[in-house]
Amino acid sequence: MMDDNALMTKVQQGEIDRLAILFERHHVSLFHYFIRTGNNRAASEDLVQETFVKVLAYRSSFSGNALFKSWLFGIARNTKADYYRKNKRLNEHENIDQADIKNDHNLSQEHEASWQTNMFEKALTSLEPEQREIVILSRYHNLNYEEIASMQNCNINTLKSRMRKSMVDLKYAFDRLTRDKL
Amino acid sequence: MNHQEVIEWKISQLSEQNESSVEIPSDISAYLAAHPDLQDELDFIESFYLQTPTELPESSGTMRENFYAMLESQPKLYSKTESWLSMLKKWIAPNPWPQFVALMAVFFIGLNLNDNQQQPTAISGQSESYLALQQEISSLTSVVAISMLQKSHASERLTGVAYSKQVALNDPKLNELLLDRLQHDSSTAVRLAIINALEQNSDLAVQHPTLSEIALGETNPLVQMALFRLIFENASATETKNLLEKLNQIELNQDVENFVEQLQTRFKA
Repeated sequence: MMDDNALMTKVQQGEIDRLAILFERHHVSLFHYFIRTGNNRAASEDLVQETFVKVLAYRSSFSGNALFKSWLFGIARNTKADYYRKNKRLNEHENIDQADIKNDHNLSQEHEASWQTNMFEKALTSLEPEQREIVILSRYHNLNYEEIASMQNCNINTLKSRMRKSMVDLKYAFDRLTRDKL
Repeated sequence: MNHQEVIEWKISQLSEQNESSVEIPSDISAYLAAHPDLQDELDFIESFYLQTPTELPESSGTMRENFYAMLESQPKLYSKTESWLSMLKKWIAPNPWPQFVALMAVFFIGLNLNDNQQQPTAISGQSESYLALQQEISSLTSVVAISMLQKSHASERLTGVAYSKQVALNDPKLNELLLDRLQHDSSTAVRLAIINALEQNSDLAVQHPTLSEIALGETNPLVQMALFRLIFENASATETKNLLEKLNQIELNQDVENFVEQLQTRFKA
């Protein structure tokens, strides 16, 4: 099976149909990235579509030095930023008070693990957009520090510092939520 | 070694999900022994990375359909062949709105024509009422198009573009909105569909200067190429010459530059 970078190189060389394989491999992950970073379903679908349009439009800029996945998420991140720049009335990130409260069940009704997961995800919504994105890319999309730093145009040490701050803030939010609920 | 590096190691270890790599390197172990406060952070990180994520909603089939429609249209962007119409049809086909309005329009026309036939009016009177009816439908469609073009979902705005084609773009407000969307819409698909709609406008010549300005300032290569194709295919020789002069003064994306060269070759031939 051809890897992502080889496929993207084929796309660059004019075999546009190969993009379909990359779409099938990554569209769900991208869709979830947009959902997790605070977009609704309709906007997330538009953003996935727009990301792949840009992959095609900017295919010549893919160097092959980095993993296709991190290049793709870089484009996705820029697409999201463009989307909110053009739709200024939309609020990119819900804060914790606006987040959909799905946790109305009490502990006896819900398994502790899923309750904890719910708390983690609610705590995540309370982070600053940039922090939230770092955590999401690392935790749910397995991007490493170097790849995330490249996406955020920062050096690796800055990224390390931001990641620690994000985890400290996440823990604080998680502790606050679990303390309130217990 | 510092806290951040230990956290990086922990996250890397958790991301790899490699059971064999659970052994803590001696330098990290020594650092942890010297900084017991860090263990609490690491425990939290571990529980966060090991929890099973909640199920997220699935994307709709429309997203996949839109992607394949976009992919199918790609090679055709470089030729004069009309491809966006079929793409739009595919996009709009699953949407009940156009079907509903088309049905209503057919029903409305049929009902009114039937009423007219039952009344002993002159033929000229029938034509006038028929024209008035057509204008009414056109005006109604224009309102629907404007409303749809202002929706937040790209597929709804695409439907708005499809409606705008039915009213022959003779509504200045609609025309203005389309040009605004052409410049500022967040979806490339919507912008390309608008270019297709403009192509069918009999008053397109009036808009050439505006379209040239938009094309020259455009940053999206796909939209820019579609705009240049539209202008080259419809503008007069003088207008094309003016555009080429301006093009020589700006720096274009390599793909766009190649495309413009292809267009020039084709039109010279």
